[in-house]
Amino acid sequence: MAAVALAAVEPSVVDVIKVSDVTKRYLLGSVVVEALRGVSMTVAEGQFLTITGPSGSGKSTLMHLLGCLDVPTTGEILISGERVDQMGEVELASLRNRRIGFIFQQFNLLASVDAVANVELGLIYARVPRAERRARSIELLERIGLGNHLRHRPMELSGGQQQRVAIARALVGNPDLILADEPTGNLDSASAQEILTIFDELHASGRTVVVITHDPEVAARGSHTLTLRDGRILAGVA
Amino acid sequence: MKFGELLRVASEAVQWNRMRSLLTILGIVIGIAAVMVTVGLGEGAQAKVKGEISALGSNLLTISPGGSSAATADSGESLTERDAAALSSHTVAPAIGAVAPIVQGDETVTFGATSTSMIVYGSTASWLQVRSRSIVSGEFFSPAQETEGANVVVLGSEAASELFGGRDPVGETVTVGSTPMTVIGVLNSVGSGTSPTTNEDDLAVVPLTTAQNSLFGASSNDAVDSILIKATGSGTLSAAYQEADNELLMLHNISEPADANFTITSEQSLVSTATSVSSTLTALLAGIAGVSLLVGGIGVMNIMLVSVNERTREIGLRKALGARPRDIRLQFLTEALLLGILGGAIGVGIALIAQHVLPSLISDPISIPAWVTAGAIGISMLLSVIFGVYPATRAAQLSPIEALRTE
Ligand SMILES: Nc1ncnc2c1ncn2[C@@H]1O[C@H](COP(=O)(O)OP(=O)(O)OP(=O)(O)O)[C@@H](O)[C@H]1O
Ligand SMILES: [Mg+2]
Repeated sequence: MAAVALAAVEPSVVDVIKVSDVTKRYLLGSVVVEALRGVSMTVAEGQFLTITGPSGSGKSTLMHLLGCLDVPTTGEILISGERVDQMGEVELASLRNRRIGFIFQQFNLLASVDAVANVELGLIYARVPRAERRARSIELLERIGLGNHLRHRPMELSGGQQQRVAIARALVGNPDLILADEPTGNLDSASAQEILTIFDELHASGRTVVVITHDPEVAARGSHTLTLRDGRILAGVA
Repeated sequence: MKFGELLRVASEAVQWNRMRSLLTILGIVIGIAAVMVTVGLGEGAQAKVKGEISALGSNLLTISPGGSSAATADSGESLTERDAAALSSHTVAPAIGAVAPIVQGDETVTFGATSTSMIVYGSTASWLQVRSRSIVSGEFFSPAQETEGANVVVLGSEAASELFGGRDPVGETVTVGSTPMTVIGVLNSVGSGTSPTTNEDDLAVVPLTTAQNSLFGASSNDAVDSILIKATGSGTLSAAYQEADNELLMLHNISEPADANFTITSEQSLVSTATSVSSTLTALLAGIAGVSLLVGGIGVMNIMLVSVNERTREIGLRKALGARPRDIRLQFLTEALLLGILGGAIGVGIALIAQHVLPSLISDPISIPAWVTAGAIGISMLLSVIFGVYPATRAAQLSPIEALRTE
């Protein structure tokens, strides 16, 4: 496995994430579902935070808020010092593009294009020129051990390889924060170990990583851990 | 996203779903091809009519008895040889090059055991020039033969071959009505003329005096059935019209042009009549084809909606990676546009092939003007974009979480 040797990120005083008393309610027909009932937490730069909790406890909801995919019902969220809880769709899109790298349980790769094209997708929206996009994507894929699979489409890759393409895609824009929701949920244990090693390496190189997981073993890999239950933080360092 | 980027993403999507893309554009392909062939048929028919009319000589004016108002419509024998003679004067009507008074009727023409019915024209020696015809065998009658009422006849090519088969009829004697006449010439063949009811090759021409004396009987005032005049050139046609109109009004002692007891028509007006008739038909057919285009556009919308549904996850992912709603909208609009261009291009291709293949099967000319081709592509692009707006907007409005959640 090639080391993901990324340049160490300069520490700063601003927390990457600062969440204050956030609630999120969903309206399911006439039923109000309280997915988050007042969550406060901070993630400092360079932390490897794992969030665990039973199914339905609000982990994914929290990740959507941290990832600026959605806005809270009440409360404040700051990402790298920027207030995001009041932002509109266009601003949020730009923020996601610049500051956040997502890794999903189902990989979410585009089936019709090859690994390089999948990795460079976010850079298109950042208006990075094509040549630079390609170069950066290829470099990352090589570092992550997929140098021989640049032209492969997702179907032609194993699950672990697909998730590595997704990790490269999350890293290519140099985000402040890497967010992963059950990144090993769809993988066999060997592939899962490979992916976790990459997360360790990312942490070691100074990246800020937040991983959501059911798996206690995965949760234990984090430098900090936080447990959710019924939309509240039960325990942990936050 | 830059346009090149959009186009690349769109063409990937179109290629990825080749079969569905093809089915999507089928409606547009058929619609465009149908519109173009229809318009081409109309244009072809018009070109054909125009060609036939100009072969007749477009600087021809026909004066017929009877005015356009109800009071003067049935003026009967209002045109006379005297009118024709007056119009022949170069001082009175300098724009008129030649004048031919005409009497006409259906007669049976017999040679030996063969007899056939045809239109027989009585006219002067200038008929040949006025009708822009020529003689392929023998000669036309002379002014002298016309004055003395010689029993001579000139046959149209079809009339000649009906009576004589392949033989040269010049010098033979035929019986026109009940009068024996010598065939002195055969006219060139012009094919069927402007009107499908008049065969310009199945006719006989005799001197006007002969026709009046021996065939139709002379009327008291030397009335004729019509007067043909030929302007000195196509540029002097309207001058010739004015001169004929003024001179005849004066000769007939009519002060109000509205009371005229004659009507002057030009071949040009026949052209415009023929043109307007066929363009009405073209418009109707093009309208029907247009409806099929509309259906094609709705097909694009339908399939685009399916495509948006199927690619909800992709849309969610793109949004998570930083695509703004307008990026997504543009992506799907470009895809629709590309489908439109593709459908339009294939439709145009089919129409252009039909332009070459169809005429031999249906014996109608098809002429597709360049502007129709350009318009067809333009319309298919416009159509696909219009019908792409709704699916694209739906895609743009998808929430990233909902989109990513979809299995
Ligand atoms: N869009 C939504 N509309 C309505 N209810 C929702 C929506 N999203 C989440 N919920 C509800 O909010 C609660 C928290 O859901 P969430 O997906 O955050 O749980 P989770 O901890 O990620 O669970 P899992 O471990 O199963 O993924 C659940 O009760 C869920 O049904
Ligand atoms: Mg979840």
